[in-house]
Amino acid sequence: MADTAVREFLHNLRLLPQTFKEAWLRLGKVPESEREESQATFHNFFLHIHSVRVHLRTLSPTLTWGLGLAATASFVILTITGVLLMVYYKPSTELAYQSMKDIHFTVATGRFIRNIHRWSAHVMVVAVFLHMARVFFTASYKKPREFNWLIGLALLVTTLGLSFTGYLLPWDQLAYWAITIGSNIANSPRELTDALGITRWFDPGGFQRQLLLGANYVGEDALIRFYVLHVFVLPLVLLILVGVHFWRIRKDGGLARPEDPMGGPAEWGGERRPVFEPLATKTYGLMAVVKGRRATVNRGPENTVMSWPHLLWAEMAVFMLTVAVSLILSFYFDAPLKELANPAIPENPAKAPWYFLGIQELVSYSAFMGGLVIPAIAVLGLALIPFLDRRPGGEGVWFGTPGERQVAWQSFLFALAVTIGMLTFTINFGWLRNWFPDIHQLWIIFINPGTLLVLFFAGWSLWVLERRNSVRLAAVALFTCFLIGFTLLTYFATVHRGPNWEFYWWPSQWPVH
Amino acid sequence: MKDPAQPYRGLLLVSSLATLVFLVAAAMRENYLADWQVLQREYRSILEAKATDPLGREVLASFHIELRQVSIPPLGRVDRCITCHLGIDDPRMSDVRQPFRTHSGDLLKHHSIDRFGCTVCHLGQGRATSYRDAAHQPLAFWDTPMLKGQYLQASCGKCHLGSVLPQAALLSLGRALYKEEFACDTCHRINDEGGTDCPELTHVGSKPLRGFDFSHVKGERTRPEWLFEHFKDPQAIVPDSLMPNPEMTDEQAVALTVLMLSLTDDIPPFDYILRPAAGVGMGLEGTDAAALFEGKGCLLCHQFAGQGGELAPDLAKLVSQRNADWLFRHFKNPRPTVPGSDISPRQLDDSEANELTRYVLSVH
Repeated sequence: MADTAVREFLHNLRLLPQTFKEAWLRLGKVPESEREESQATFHNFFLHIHSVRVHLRTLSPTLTWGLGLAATASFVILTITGVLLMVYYKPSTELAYQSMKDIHFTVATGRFIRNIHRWSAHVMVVAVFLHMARVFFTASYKKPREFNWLIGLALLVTTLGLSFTGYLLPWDQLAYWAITIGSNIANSPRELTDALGITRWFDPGGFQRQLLLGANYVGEDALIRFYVLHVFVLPLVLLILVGVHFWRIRKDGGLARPEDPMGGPAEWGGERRPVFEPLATKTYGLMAVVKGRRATVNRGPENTVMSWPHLLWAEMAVFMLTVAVSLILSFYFDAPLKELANPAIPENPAKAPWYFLGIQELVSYSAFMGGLVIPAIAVLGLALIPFLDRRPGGEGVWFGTPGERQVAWQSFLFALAVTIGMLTFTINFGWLRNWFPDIHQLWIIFINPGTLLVLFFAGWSLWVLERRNSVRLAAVALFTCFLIGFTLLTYFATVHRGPNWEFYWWPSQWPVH
Repeated sequence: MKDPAQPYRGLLLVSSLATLVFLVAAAMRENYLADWQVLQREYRSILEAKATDPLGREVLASFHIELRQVSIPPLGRVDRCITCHLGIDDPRMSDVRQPFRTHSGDLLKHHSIDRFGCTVCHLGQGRATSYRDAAHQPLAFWDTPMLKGQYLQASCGKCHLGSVLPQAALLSLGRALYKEEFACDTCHRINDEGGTDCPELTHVGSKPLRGFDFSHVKGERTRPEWLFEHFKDPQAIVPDSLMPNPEMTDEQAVALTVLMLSLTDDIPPFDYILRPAAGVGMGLEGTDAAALFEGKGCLLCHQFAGQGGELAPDLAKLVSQRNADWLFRHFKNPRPTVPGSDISPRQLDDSEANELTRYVLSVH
């Protein structure tokens, strides 16, 4: 310490780089001991959501395939590119399309940034779906993770909402007609209220559509609503939900995994380590701050490794892989931008965004059932899974209990056969309206290929429940059917539906007009 | 035991390298190797070769590689064509390759680029900055590809109404053929003129491409090709058409195609429009109204379309401030609509006032 204030000031000034580094990085160097590594995790705002040690299974790429992280990474990419696009995008029907053109043609790398935004959005939707399938098939929703499964479901819905609201913003023909279809789906309860003749008094469909569009048509009000939802409301909701989702992972004891065998392979880095032996005089259960059956007593902490740097490597690798995939796709494939939106010229076929095409196929049978009831049943069914399947076992292992793999295969083939069969039948022979032209619409609302598919799947699941005497196996059967049905319908509507929603083998066979 | 993070480190290295490579490649592709930048560098070398006199050296010194555009709010256009077409107003560039060559003819002398831009005549996508996106050729998702060769005369018809234009012989021929030779107006309608039994032609030149059935067209899928083939043999293009085969020569078919292409809804503001001194109007306005307008002596006091007196307000300004209802009442009886004015009533009946209102609004 210097003897005068001036000297002290100069001394501090000289040391500024070092003291600043210490204040900022705390440790000021790469952690060397496990103690320093744990502090690196624990004392960092961004890293402290991690536990200090992470189980080796968590790092196994074949357990998670990094799907949740990939979804998060896409969201980060989307936020960054989204903010850049907001600088140039003008949310008005007069200017939106022109600003898209200017982003393409004059903004430095604007086209590339928009491509990245588009492709990351697709990557995110796909990653979220696959992540859900991973969590299901590794039974990772089981107690105590039921609530996080619900948060995940909310995240799925929010992700679809974000993607859907972004779809309108370019204000081109693709956007305009996709959103018109989407808003008609919101309007679909009218099919039921019309059939019952009560639309004049009770019109939830019209209300939903008005709420979505702010008008009876897709116009300026709809554009502003979608813009506000897309750039503010839904990202905020997603951010909060992601925060809760991560926090719950930590509080629920990390990723789901089977119990380690007692004692455990106490070896890491060629060095045997002592197993933690419980003292008879202590009650360790009280010390457990996370949920779980026991504190990690009497078993090796040695199946875990330090989060810094191991988990960090894994996370950075998945993050950069997601970035690289988005960049490579964006480099070679431009995001579509069709003609300026024109309400007078319908796109034919007008198709919703791809992840809603399965629903649009169902809507083509019955708007009310396909657009509202069946999706609601699907979401409700997914939400109920962890509360109906409560027998522990198989957590954190792909098809972890006996018979799961077999039931999954059988359900795969069953759903494949039933869905393809139903589509083939409908295309070749039509449906009730073709056979009985004067039939009341209520018959078609309740008996159509969509509702029959749901019944077939539910029946199959109940049969598995009865026959295999296992709630988990019944859930596997139902979830597999849902996944296959969704995928097949989406594929079918994407590739094989042409003008007027007619069947065509390939888009090249669509009539030239 | 092996380090469990080992494969991730490899993956991180590979994906980070891929990210870096593609970021740099994209930055190069979009900011250094873009079509227009390559062309501008080539143009600079041409300028260097031609910088033999002080003026040439000055042009070279003021040349920067940058996006260029003409913004013309009245026409709703931003044209970036001059980003590549760099020599259109430089007479020294008559011998260099496109896109650098001097604009043909003396058209730019009468149509200053700052007032007209490019796409109001040539069509195409003015905001684009590459050959493909500018729609030099038919382009997916762009409804107005450039007009080529003789069909370009159609654009003259947007502003040059009714008059015989020596530079647009085909357009003039088309206008004559429409009424006199083939009497198309017996059946077809343009604005308020002509029959109502057949498809209206008022905006046929800007009918969306999607509205044309190209399944019987032999040539490329463009408006001019559809129209030309249709004039040569209507039933070959629209099998159940009731139109009698007019048995045209190729020249007549081209001339009428030019006329059709000139009938668009892309109507320039009224001060761009040159109205006929005399003769048949064909396009935007009904001649009756124009005659009425002059016959009732409006132009004695009012300014309109660059003519008329200066005693009363410019009608163009009034039109932009008032609605059709006000105009109608003004033509019927002007005094109550303009308190304190000494304008005298002109004795117009309802249909005449209506006609005038429509005319003034349509020209505006």
